[in-house]
Amino acid sequence: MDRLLLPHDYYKSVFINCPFDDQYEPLFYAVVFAICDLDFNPRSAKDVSDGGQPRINKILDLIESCRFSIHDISRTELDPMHGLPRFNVPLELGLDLGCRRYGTSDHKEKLLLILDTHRDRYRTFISDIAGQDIAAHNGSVERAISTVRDWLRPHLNPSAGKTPSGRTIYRRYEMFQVDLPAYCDKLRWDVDNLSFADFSWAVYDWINNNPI
Amino acid sequence: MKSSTAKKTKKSETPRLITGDELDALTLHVVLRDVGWVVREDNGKVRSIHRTQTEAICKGRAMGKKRAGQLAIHGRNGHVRKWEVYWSGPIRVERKPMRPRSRPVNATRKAMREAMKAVLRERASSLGVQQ
Repeated sequence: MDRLLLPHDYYKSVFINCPFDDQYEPLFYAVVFAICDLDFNPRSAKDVSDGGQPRINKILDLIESCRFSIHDISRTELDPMHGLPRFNVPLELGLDLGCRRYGTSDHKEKLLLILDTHRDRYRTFISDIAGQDIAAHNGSVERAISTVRDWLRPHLNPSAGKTPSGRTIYRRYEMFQVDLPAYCDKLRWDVDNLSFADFSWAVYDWINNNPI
Repeated sequence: MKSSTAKKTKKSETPRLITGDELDALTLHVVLRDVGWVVREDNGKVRSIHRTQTEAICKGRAMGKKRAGQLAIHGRNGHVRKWEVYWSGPIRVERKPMRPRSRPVNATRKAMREAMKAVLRERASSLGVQQ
């Protein structure tokens, strides 16, 4: 891929690769909010609406168009129905590592954060990723926000103002969650069934009206 | 982190207001790539290539001072390890979140903006009543 084809926001985009189940949603939305609050651009396979495109192609496009990636491997566990592991997230993590190694010179600057429930759990099933940035959130929204904030902090321009702490972002996220149902009511939306695009715009409008 | 070469600023000076895009245009990065250590613009455009990080930092500093900008020095792991600024006087950056890439699905932007403003207005007024 020629570097001219990279999106203009490549250096500010964060690809979130995580499980898309109901249980994980609180963590996913919290991470999206934290990324927006730090003036980065969250991207997810959920925001690509081209139904005709094979899913893996969408993910490859996202990997190529984001400098930062967050891979949450916490749901890599045996499916109780089939007794087989769920392996989508580690597969996409592998594609991202490949992109960094074999991609264009811009891709050599890619940075990956691997999240899991416990810090050393990965050693039992995917030990080859040792040496990457790996952190545990223990399933806690506040911890996930702080982890993402701490990881992105060195890349925040100190001249652009003070960097909010993880706790500050978490408190702002709680305030946003209080406002979100009323906002959805006004637009006659189902707060439990928001599309990624609509949620991202809601976060954008809220942060614009509530600057740090 | 302020560079030792940056001019000292007086507390009484009014900060110069600049946008986030203007700040990005003033920013240079020293990063490791497969060709060596490079000095690049914030948008990724490579300005010079060097054999060592020290050479790249010297070049980056010279270019940063020329444009009265700033330099981000990345380590081998890709993370920024040092920021140096070369402008004189204080600045204030107009911070704005990044606009989402995809279009809203279930409402117009105007309706969404107005809904958010109404919600925040209601919250503010209800807090006022409680106090």
